[in-house]
Parts: sequence; C-alpha cells; structure tokens
Amino acid sequence: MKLAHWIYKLPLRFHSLFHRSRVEKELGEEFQYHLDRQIETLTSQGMSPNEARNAALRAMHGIDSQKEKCREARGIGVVEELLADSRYAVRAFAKNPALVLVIVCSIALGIGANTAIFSVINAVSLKMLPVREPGNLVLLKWTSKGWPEGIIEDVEGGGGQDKGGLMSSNSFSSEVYAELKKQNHVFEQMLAFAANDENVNVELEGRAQSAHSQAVSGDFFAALGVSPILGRTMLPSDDTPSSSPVAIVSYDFWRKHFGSDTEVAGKTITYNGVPLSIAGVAPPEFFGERPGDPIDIYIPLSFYQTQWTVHYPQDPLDSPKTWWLDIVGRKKPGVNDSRANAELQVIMERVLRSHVQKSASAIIPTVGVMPAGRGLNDLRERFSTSLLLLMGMVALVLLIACANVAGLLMARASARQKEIAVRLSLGASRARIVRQLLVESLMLSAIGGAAGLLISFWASSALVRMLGSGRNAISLPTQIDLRVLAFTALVSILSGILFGLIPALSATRVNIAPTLKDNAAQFSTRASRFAMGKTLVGAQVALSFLLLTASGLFLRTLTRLQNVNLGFDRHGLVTFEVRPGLNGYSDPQLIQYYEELQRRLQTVAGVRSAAFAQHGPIDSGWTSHSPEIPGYTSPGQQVDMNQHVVGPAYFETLNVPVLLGRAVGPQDTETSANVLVINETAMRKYFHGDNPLGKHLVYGKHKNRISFEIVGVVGDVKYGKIRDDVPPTAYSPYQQSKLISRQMVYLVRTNTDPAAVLGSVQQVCLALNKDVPPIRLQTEEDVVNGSLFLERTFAWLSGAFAALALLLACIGLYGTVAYAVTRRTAEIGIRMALGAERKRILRMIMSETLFIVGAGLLAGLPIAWIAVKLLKHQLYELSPHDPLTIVSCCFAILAIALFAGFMPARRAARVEPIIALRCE
Amino acid sequence: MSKPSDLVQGTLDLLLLKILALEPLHGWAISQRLKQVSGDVLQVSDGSLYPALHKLEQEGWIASEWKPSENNRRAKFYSLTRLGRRHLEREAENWDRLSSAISHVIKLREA
Repeated sequence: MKLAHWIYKLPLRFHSLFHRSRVEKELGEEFQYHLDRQIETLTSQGMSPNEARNAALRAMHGIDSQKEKCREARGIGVVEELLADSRYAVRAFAKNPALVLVIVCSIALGIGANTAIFSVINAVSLKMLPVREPGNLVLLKWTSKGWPEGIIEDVEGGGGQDKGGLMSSNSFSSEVYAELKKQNHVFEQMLAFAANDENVNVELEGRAQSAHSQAVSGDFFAALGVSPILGRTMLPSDDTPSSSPVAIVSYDFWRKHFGSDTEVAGKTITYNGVPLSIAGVAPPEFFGERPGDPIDIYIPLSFYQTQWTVHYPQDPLDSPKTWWLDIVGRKKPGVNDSRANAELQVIMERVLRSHVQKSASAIIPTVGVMPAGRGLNDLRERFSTSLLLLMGMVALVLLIACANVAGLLMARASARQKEIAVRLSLGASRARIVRQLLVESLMLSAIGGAAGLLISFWASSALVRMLGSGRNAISLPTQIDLRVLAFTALVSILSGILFGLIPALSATRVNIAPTLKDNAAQFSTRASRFAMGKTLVGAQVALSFLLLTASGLFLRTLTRLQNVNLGFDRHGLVTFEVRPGLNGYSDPQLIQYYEELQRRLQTVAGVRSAAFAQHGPIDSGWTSHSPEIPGYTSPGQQVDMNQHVVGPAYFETLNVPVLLGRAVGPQDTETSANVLVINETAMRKYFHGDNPLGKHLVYGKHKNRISFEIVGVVGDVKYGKIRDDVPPTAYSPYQQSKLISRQMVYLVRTNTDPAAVLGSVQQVCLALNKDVPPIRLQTEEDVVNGSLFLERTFAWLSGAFAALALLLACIGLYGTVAYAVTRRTAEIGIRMALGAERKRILRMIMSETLFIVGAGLLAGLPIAWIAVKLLKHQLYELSPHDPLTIVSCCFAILAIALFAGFMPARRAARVEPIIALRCE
Repeated sequence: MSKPSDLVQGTLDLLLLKILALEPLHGWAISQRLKQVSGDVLQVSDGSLYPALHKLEQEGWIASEWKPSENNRRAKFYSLTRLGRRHLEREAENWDRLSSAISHVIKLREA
C-alpha cells in the first residue's frame, strides 16, 4: 500500500517539478477564479465593487503567502531552494576564482590519491572474476592433521602447514577429481587446472620467447562461461590422450605476438619444442583465475600430462598418489558450503580408503570448499597490509586537505560576515544559511571529486606500473568500475560535509547587531573563529608530521636495504635463465649445452667471465637439505643446510671471496670425488671455529647415504630476500647432483656497462638453440632493485603523500597568518605609531606562528609515536621510533612551516602606521 | 465574543474529502459548501483552503481537472480518487472512534 501510494504520487511530484511554468500559471488562474466569483457574489449582495474586492482579498489571508504554501504542498520548495542555492553559489565562486581553484585542487589531489589506492585495492581483493556468476564458484581444498601416509606421495603447487601442524593444499589427484565429478550432486559443473602454472618456451615465426602457461580441463572455459572472441573454445574432446594438442591464447598474447591477426585460429606455435595448434583467443577481460598473474597460453590437461611424462617419468600424474590438480566447482542453486563439504567428504573418503590397508590408522584428508569468485591467489594476503597502510596515508592526506579547505572557507566566511548578518536579520533561519553554505562546499567537493577521478586514472595506472616492475611483477587491470565511482562519490560528499560544516556553523553563530554596525567591537566572535582556524592549522601540522615521519622511516629502510652487503658484486653483472630441460634434453645433452653456452658467452666482447648455477642471487629459490656432519652431530641428528648447485667459475664471476681451500671448478665432474664448498655462516655455526676442510657432510638415510668432502669455504651470499639473514649454505658441483638441473641461471661479469651486452647475450643463446630463449635477461642491479620494489613504492608514495600534506599545511598556515595580519593591521599600526620597532612586530607575529606549529608538533608526536608502530614490519633494522628520523622530521616541519609563516609576518612588519590607521 | 475554535488538525482534510465525495467541485464552490454545512462553527479562511487542496492532490487522494464551470469560465474541479475514497473511509472511522471516545469522557459524571 505504502509503495503503491508512492508510485502514484511520484509522477505528480515530477509533474510539479518539470512543468513549473504551467503549474504556476494554473495556480494564478485558480486563485483569480475564486476572487472573481467572490467579488461577483459580494457585489450582487449590494457591496460596491471596491469594497467587494477588498473583502474578497481579506478573506484570502494574503494571497501570495497562500500561493507559497501551495507550492510547498506540492513539494517543490526544497528542490527549488537548492537550485537557487547552487545558482547563488556559482555567482559567489565567480567572484573569487583563485580561492575556488586552490580549494578544488586541494580536494582533487586528496580524492585522486584516495581513488587511485582504492581502485588498486578493488582490483586486488574486491573485484569478481570476469566469468559467469562468479559468486557460485568454489575452490576445493583439503586439510590434514599430519601427512596422509599411503595416500599422498607428491603434492604439486602450493601447500603449507600452519603453526598447529595442520597441513593444507588445493591440489587433488586425477582419481579424486574424476570420482568427485562422477558422484557429486552439489555442483552444476566442475573444472580443474594444473596446480603448477609454468613458464614455457614458445616459438612463433622463428622467434623464441618465454610465455606463462596454464593447463586446464577441457570444460574449463565452458564451465566458467567464458567464450573466445576468435576461433573456438577448448572442448572436452581436446583433453584426451589421443587428441591433437590445441591451445587457447590470451587476448594480450594474441595482440602482442600475432599483431591482432584475425586469421590466427589454426596457426601453429612451438611449445617447448612440440607443435601446438591455436584453437582460439580468450576475451580481453579474462586473465586466468589469479588476479595480477595473467596467463598467456591455456593448454589441455592431457597435453600437459604427456609433456610431464617426458620430463618426470618417475612421478606419473595419473597415479592416485600424485596430487596435482586444482578443482573448482559451480554450486547448484540453494546448496550451502556445509552441505557441499559433507557430500564431497563422503565421496573422497570412499575413494581414498581403498588405497590404504590398515584403514584404522590412516589419515584421510578433510575436504572443504572456499569461495573462488574473487580469484584464487595470495595476492590479497601479500599486498593487503601494504595497501591498507597506503589507504590510511591517503586518508590522512585527504583529512589535511579538508582541514585546509575548512580554514580557507572560514576566512572567506568572515569576509562575508556582513552578508550573512543581513540575511539573518531579514529573517532567514540559521539552518537555511547553513544549508546554503553547505551547498557551496558540496559543489566544491563535487568538482574536486570529478577532477580527482581524472587524477586517479593517471595515478592508478602509474601505481600499477610500479607494482608491475620487479621479478614478481603483478599486472592488474584497474578499470574504473561502479564500485570505484561510488567510492569517489561517497568520499567527495563526506569531505564536502566535513570541510563545509565547521565554517558554516561558525559563520552563522554571529551577533547580528554589532556585525551590522560595522567592524568595531566584534573581537569576541572573530577571536574565537580565529582560534578555530589556528586549531585547524595545528591539526594539519600534526598530521603532516605523522606522514613525514612515516615516509622518513620508509626512506631510511630503503637506503639501508640498498646498501646491505649482499656478499657479491652486483655491479657489472648480467643474469638470465635458460630452460633447455623443457625441450627434452637428456643429461649428457644438458651438460654439453650448459658448458657450451658458458664457453660462448666468455667470447662475447666486454665479457670477463661467465658462470651458471641452479639459482642466482637475490629473490630466487633455493633447496634446503638436512645433512649430518660426522664428528659434529650426534648420530641421526641433522642440521639445516641450504643447498645450491653451481658450475665452474661461479664464485670468481660473482666476486665472492674464497676464504679457505678452493672453489668448485671444472675438475669436479660426475665421476670425480664428491665435493662441497660451504659458506662462512655454515663454518661458524657448525664447526665452532675448526677448519672444516677435509670434513664431510652426509646426506640421505640408510643405504642411500652419500658423503661429500668439504674442499673450500666462501663468503656469505644472499639469495632470498635482502632482509633475510644468510643461512648456512653448501654449494655442490652441478654434475654431481642425482639429476642434472633442467634449468640454469647464468651470470655474466662484464668489463663494460652490463646493459650494453644484453643484446649480444641474447644472440649467443638463440644461436646455440633458437628454441631455448633466455628468460629474464637483465642486469643484476635491476634484479636487486626489482626485489626492493615494494619498499621503493612505499618510500616513493609515502614521500609524495608527505610532501603533499606539508604543502597543504603550509598553504593553511600561510593563509591563517596572513588573515591574522590583516585583522591586526590597525593594531600593528598603533603599536608602530607608539614606537614599536619592525623587528619587534616581526617577532610578535612569528612567535604566534611558532606557537601554532609547536602546538601541532606537540599534538603530532604522541599520535605519530603510536601510529608508526603499525609500520614495524615494513622497516628494516630500524626502530619505528628511530630518534634521527623523528628529530629531523621535527626540524623539517619547523623550518618549512616557519618559512610559510615568515612571508606574511614580514609584510606585517612593513606596514606603514599612517596607512594602517587610515584603513580603519 | 469567543473566538471560533480552530479546526482540529487534519479535520479540514476530512471535511474536504467528504465534500468532494458527494460531487466534484471547484475551489470557490468548496468554500461556499464549507460555510453552508458548518456555519460559523468551523471557520476556514478562503486562502487556507487551497494549500490543503494542493496537499490532498499531491497525496493522490483527489484529482483535478480543468473544465467549464456553471458561469462558463474555465475552473479547476477537484474530485475524489479511488485512493482518496479508501482514505476517507478509514479517516471517518477513526474520527467516529475518537469523537465517541471523547464525548464519552466528557459525559462522565463527577463523582
């Protein structure tokens, strides 16, 4: 009923609003008709026409106010008033364009920064995958208290163990997938993809490159509801061992490598040396199932399995004990998670029980579903803290901008004091005038918000570019969607109210009579308003101190990290990776390839030496083993040892000092004695000052024990994060591994600028085998810088935010002091006429400035003291209360703020007493 | 002379709806009808009649139409809508309840 009533009423309201002139005309006509009839009646009763007219009008009780009441009754009053208010606001703005510009710029910068950070947060953690009904998608995971012995032998992809020892992973076996798919009643559709996405060697039209590939089940695209823009989709019939292999390529890959060729379907690419025909092109918005980690090529699972069998025949993927598939289900309508969990668990238990004999003691993993609609990766966990910190910072910047604008508006309001007093005395209500002022500030914030949105287009793409650099680059599409627009609108309105309400309330709290009387005797109201302005500036100083301290801490962290001794010489070093193993090389072929590539690289002009290892320094992987050290560990006790596999001339090329004995050399082959080189930390930690040369490390258990003799000790080198300490590390000759590494990282020491040899290095690699491209070919300095990208982004952004905050605070301070000076011109004139020196005047004004800034700092210190504790985990070897940072930030703020206050103070000191007194 | 009691809030709406329930009328005719039915007890100024009518129209309880009046001039006629009739019934019931309750209280004999 209520709703129906409104549906009926709404058109009437709109009619009143949009046909205003007609409504107005009819209103006049209606009243006129009444008057005429009344006059007619009265004259017929014997009144004179004049008398009758007067009587009729009297009976109306004021025809105009009745009309106004009619308009009000039609509900168009508020809208009309708002329109009038905004017209009035535009006129007021036109009178003061400079002020409007400053306000709009402040707000635009604040809102732009907020929108930019928010749009990245939106892309990372809020946006749904661009697939059909993403909300119904769930990813399967299992958890298990302890290793499921006899059920799982190999888990591919991500997995982990929490502090309580609970293991978890998203990988399942082919068998479990097949049975779940056959037996479940809770999913409309199920799809799977290989837990490992891979970088592969792809050759197109004679050029080889690295591409990011993902193996998916034949119904992957159909189940997600993603259809290709070109060619055909992948079909279940493509995903059988006998089908000829096909691929779907991503939109970006197609554009970049096929020049948007519309005839691409049916063309062949060479995938790790195997020809593969392209079936279709995925739509542009589809990036795979992990935001920030886009896939270039989708291949069928069957093809992936064939390739896998070539490289790892010992771990067949169809074994029920190899768990390698991620499974996604689309829930049927009305199925809740607990029901899905229960049914999946029953099926999985039935399948797994058949593999274990002593079923009583077996550990069966527990299956569960988790929402998959927003994507499946750890991007959220990796960046959410950082992004939230950034969001906090930009919120502070916006707060400062609002305080600043509030101060400016307050100064303007006092210039309009008389206008407001006149309106109040003419009977305008205070609410009416507050509303008028709020309309003005909301208009300002709306313009600022629109400009901020434009700024954020640019800022968020710059931010994404920054996040996209470095080894673990993430690429995010940050389109401005509805959620971002809503965010911007909300922030604009809130800040408009925030910076508009304080000045509006204080401006309307006036004593009408004295204000109208002119500018004498109004010190009481103005003084309190001026105190409010001071408070606002003090608050800005406090907040910008907080931001400046944060950015100082980030900057010091960055410089510390940049100057950490990495244990090797990062300058004049080129690095890249090759993966001949993907192309099916056998062990002897690999050895031959690796040594030939090393030999050829050494002949390149400008190259001093070249070497290779399974992992290069910084931001790369490593392997961890637990050897025994006879004579130092009790029998059965093992120590932690990071293990690296290196080729000859490795330490020489990296400029790592050999402290004792010798390095790994060309003499260490498969047939020679097993040797090892350990690092300094390993020597210190495990040999307690003894000479480790000639001692042994023993790996493996029982009959698989292998002993390696320590032949050298080298300096510590960092491999993982720059922040991490160097762990005890052992280096073994690559030929003495059980299996020759399928991939190697090459390091090339140059005599010249390393960037200059990148081209020749590429040529050398492709000349050796055009199907084995060098991957991530770059200088080691870029690698190191890339590994610090998060820290650099932080230092950069927080520095920019702090600078912005400081600038705003200075504008605020300048404005407040300048206003104070103008207000006190007469006073200053009198003081000077009475003999005060200019220096004294200057000191008087400056001490006031100092008071505001000092109070701001005093308020800011405790806030910063508490707030910077949030940054603890982002800092490196630095207390959040680093005294140097805090003290220098204090001085920086003082210096900058005093400079901002000095300019108006100097102007005050130059006041000519005569002119000042005439001013009154 | 005692001042005629002001119209109880909302009573005017009820009266207007009731008058229009009998036949569609224009504003002046409504004012005549009001005087006629209530005499001097309920005094409604000619002026305040119109805001009330516009409010009722805006609520959707009455509708308006321009057509020639008895003196052949264009006048705005108001008529009760279906929605208004239902509203009138409800309000009339309320009024009955209220007035009978009040008169019941008034007639209580002092103990």
